[in-house]
Amino acid sequence: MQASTKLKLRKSILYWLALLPMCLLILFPFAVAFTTVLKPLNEITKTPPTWFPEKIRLDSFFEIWDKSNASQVILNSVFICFIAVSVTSLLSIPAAYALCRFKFRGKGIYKFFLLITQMFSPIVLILGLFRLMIFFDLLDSLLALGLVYAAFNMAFAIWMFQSYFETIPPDLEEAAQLEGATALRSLVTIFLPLALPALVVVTMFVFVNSWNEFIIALSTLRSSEFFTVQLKIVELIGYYTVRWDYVMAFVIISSLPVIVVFIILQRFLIRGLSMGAVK
Amino acid sequence: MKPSSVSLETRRVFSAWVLVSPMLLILLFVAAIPLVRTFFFSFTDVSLDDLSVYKFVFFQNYIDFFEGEWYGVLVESVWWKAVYNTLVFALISVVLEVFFGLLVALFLNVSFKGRGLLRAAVLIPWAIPTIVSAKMWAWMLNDQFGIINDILLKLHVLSDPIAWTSNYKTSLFVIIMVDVWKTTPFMALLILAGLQTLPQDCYRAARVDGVHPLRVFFRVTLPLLRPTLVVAIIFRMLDALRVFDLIYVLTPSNESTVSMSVFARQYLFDFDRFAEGSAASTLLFLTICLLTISALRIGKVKLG
Repeated sequence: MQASTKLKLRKSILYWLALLPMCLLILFPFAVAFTTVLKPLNEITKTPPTWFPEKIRLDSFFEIWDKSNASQVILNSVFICFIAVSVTSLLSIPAAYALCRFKFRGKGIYKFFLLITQMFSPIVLILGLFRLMIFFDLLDSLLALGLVYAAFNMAFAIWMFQSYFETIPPDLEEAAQLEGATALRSLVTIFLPLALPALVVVTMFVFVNSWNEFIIALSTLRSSEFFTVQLKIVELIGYYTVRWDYVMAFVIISSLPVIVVFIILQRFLIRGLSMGAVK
Repeated sequence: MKPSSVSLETRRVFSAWVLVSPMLLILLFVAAIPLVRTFFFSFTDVSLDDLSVYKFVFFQNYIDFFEGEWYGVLVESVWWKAVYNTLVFALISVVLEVFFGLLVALFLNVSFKGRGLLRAAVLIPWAIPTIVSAKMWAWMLNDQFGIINDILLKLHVLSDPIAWTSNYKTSLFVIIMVDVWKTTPFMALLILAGLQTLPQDCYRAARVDGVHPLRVFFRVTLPLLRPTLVVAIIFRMLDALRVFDLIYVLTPSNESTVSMSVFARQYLFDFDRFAEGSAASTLLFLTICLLTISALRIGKVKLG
């Protein structure tokens, strides 16, 4: 027993060593951002650049937190993401299930239509959306923005879910339904646990896309009380003299919710039930 | 056919449509309307000042011959430059992203201590908004105080600092590199989810039989990953062909990196040539549509 833990530990260390260069490369810009925050203002644009701050200064974090009304801004973004993620999942799971288990005419056209929604640039979209939102009096509505984001993530969600559902053998649900479970019940208790990795991917995808979107947000959210994280960043970068320490501090603060979501969700990146066990 | 089986069949078809139609309605509303409007405007002489005043000019925005000169988007050299840039960008970045994504996913699929932390860390570049990562890279690639020139100078790879984002030789390469850095994590995440569908007994059997791991990868892993890779590649391709904000922030008003989306946006809003911008947007749509159809054909992807 002890020998095997030791072996595992050695293997883990080996892995970390192998993956460290990749990690450094991936996180390098983030490290640069972090040291930028810690530097005093006059050190930031020094030529040649300094690697580590000569004087460490944590004040940027606190200053920008107050200045940017960060708690409100982050809450707005979290709300939009929550709407987008839940609406996308609620509508795309049944649709993907139907595409995967039922044969019907127009299936191919439907799937291609979903791809079509991803074929024109967001710039074209904005004009149409803007008019639509004025027409329904939905400017400055976080809920409406969440729904728009949900709509544009549907295509990926359905394709992703369907390709994943195809790998789940139909006998599982059929067996459950023979034993008297309703279709909904078999979907929730048998099907979804097996599709958990797909659910994780779709949730992360919709969350990140909605968290990071700013072109549509910029044209439909007008009052600063409804600003999202991205609009705040655009505002900070848009000032005549960009305070890089503030921008980076805000980027780090506003990335924290996303990182927390990642850490929680990646745990579910495994199949809920092992397929062999139910066969 | 027996009547009962007909009714069962109809019932299944009916319930299928009940399940897929809410989505269809929403998408028709938010996607189809803007698309049709753009088509429509591309055949008129409308301007951004007043979208309700226009007359039909048919194909003049696309191509036109007037007093011995050719006009229209299709004869603009910048448009063809944009088409070329977009295709090169999409092809190279997607190939690199699939390759690195596979590599990262295979590593992160092995169980070891601290894997969760590493998985979350690897995803971070994807989570940072494009506008910020583009600014961050622009900052690091700056020819005066950028850290990348500093490293390369100290390593004697370069003798003089390079203005990476404005130099026409390096700017497209820089765009591709930043996109690969940013999107590989997403690819890895998708492939990692795909890897969970592979039956473990296959691997155990292969190990017992002493099959070379590379052979296992090409004969078992890759074919079984196909459905995942199809979804990943299609959606990445669609995204890459519409590339906009990365280029707009990293290399603003630089003709050597202009993409079809950037071209359309400039004509629509910046240059006050709205009708031609609509024509460019329509061409962008048609190009992507054709490419997608041929990709689905070549990849033998079944839609139905």
